[in-house]
Amino acid sequence: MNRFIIKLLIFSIFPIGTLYAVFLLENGTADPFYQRFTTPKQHALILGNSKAALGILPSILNDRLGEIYPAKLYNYSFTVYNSPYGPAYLESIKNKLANFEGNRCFIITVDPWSISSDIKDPNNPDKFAENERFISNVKNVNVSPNHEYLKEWFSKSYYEIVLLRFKNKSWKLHKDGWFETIGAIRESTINKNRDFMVTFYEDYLTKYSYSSKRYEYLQETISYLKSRGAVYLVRMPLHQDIFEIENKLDPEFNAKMINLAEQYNLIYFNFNELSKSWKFTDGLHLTVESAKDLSNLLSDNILLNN
Amino acid sequence: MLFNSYEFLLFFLVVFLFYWFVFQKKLKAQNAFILITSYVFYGWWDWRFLGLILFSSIVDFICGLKIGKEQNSFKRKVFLGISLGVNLGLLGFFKYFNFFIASTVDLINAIGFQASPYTLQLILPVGISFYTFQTMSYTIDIYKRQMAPSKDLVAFLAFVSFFPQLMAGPIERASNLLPQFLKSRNFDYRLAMDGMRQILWGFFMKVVIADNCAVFVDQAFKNPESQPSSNLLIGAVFFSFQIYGDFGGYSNIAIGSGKLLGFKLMQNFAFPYFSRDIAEFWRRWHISLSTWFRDYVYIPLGGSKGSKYLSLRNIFIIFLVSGFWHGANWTFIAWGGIHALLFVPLYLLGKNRLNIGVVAEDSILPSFREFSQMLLTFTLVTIAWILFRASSISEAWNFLSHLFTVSLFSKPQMDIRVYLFIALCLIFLLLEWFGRREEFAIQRMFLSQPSWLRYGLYYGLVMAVFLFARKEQQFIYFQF
Repeated sequence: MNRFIIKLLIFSIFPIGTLYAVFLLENGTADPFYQRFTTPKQHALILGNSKAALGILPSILNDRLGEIYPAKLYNYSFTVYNSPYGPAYLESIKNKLANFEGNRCFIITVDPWSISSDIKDPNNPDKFAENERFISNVKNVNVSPNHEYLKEWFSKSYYEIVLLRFKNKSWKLHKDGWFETIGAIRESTINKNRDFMVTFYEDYLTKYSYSSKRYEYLQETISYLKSRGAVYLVRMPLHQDIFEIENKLDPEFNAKMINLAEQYNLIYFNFNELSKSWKFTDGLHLTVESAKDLSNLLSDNILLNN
Repeated sequence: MLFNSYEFLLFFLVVFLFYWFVFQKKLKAQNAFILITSYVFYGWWDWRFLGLILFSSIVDFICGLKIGKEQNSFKRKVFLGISLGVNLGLLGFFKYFNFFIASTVDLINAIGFQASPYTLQLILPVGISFYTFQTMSYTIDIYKRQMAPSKDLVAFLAFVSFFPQLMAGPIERASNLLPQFLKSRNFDYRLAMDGMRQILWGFFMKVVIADNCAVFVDQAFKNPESQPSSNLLIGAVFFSFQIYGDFGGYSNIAIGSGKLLGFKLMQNFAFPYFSRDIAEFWRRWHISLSTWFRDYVYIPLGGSKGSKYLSLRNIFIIFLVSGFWHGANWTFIAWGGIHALLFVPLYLLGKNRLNIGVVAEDSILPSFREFSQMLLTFTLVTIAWILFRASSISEAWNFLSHLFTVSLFSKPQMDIRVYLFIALCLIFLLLEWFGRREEFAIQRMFLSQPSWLRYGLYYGLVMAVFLFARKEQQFIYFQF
């Protein structure tokens, strides 16, 4: 019996060791979220959904704002499914945030979806859909490799970590949390993507409704972060077609954010009010060039207000 | 709790350590422990059905005792009838009730009357087709005076619910498994190592082959009309690998787990895709079920002893019932029917027992003739599997009608990874071929070679299991 167990234990070392090495090879090319749970605790965060994940480059903000906010910003935005404001996202933010002595800032991006819900009672946090997703279930968000995520939430087979490290030429999750889409997209594809998104979000429109509970959690998130640094509220730009759908979901959204900014003494940037023409991959997510423009513009605005 | 889950890994580790370190040399305690852990294992899936398995087991235990004790042949028949009635009744109710109602309503509507279906929202208790067959074999064997009834209730309950094979077999004969619960079991290093190898091979079959082929199978069977035939061909062939990898893999894990606990379960698959004809295929595929039907249905019906007509009738009955056992759907019955049609010519020509032994037993490669026979059998089996995979006869027909078109020779429109899995299936076949003389492919592979070679193989297989695993995938045969 002892011989059997010892042999088994010794043998196990080799595959487990190899697997560990494979996990360490994941560099943001196999899973669009995993790497965010493998970095250490961060001092300053960019929050929101995929619009922010693709649209705000922490590297630009860190370069531009480094003098007034020495704490490096980290993009901790996910998707409309995973990171609407609520108990799960707030808990995850708390787990990701480290203490910091100097000045720091937080970018909170908002849209009507981030304070809405698709459940019967949109004000019942126990039933929020993200409770069943990784944002709620991955408790340790600062460990590499992250077994908790890899076991339950990693979207692919592990061999793809190796394969996609060399083969994925269409996107990359950077170490600072920015999700980059790689390669030019043809105009016809963009139009097709946008049409798809319009249909998709029109369908959402029939399912989602405003959640005062989520709004409360947005307030709680602001309170929590405001006691630790400066908070900027940002509404990401959208293509007019999608913007109209968003406004149908909550026509009062902008007014709500203006009130919120007044209530907490924050600055609110609504990038949809600018006449600038942004470029999107699908009407929703900014292209890399536009994301760089937006990050610079956001930096300008923050600097202007300091 | 699926075999291919971390929960099972932890569960089995705890069971193994307690079983051998705490309860070793205490037979009754070992049996009680197996019973408790088996019920925990089953209850993990749905605790509400624990009552069902307990009820079924106790009925069979009592009937077994009564049949064994009773001399009056009428009373013996009554108790056998109770046992069979309860088991078949449970199976019929949970598995076939809605099918019979829906089919009756369809028939009534077809002949011009109006009827609306009355169906129940029934959950099929996992493993019910397996454990009811296992316990029926117990009472039938006692009735036929082929074994004595067990007087040890705990051992009997443990035999019925033995967790490694509870969900999807092998459907053990009481005469093989029950006596193993009644004699002391000591840790056997060789048996345990053999069990580990079998479990590893089972995981490779399930996790690497079956679950990954499933992705392409699902794609091919979804809207076959909008895909080139080459996609459908890959889908159909991959389904053959999926179903074998899934069920054969489960069986290997079950048998291997049994070996780790000191039990020897019966072989359930014997390299079925190296069969040279359909008759041989059925001697190698799901052996525990086909021998069950042979012993408890085919032979009692007269087998091949009567006239040609009766023999043919019996062949059709056994294949149709076997198909129906798999599920309450006409597709399974049609699948059984096709196999019967493929078997009958062999029977009529007296060639159904032509290929008994291992193919190319004394050589490395098969002869051209053997290779052609295997290829033909595999092709026929693969075509029949389409019925098994489809959710309706019309869906199967739709798939088949789009399978044989000119686009069969075009480049498949599938994810590039399909080539990786074609390569993996070929490696799998190669390993199966070289291990075809054993109980499972890697049982004795490289055993006489330097140990680094052997452990290199195990390392490669373990890594393949880890790296190619997808999210825990249900075993197909759980639904039966």
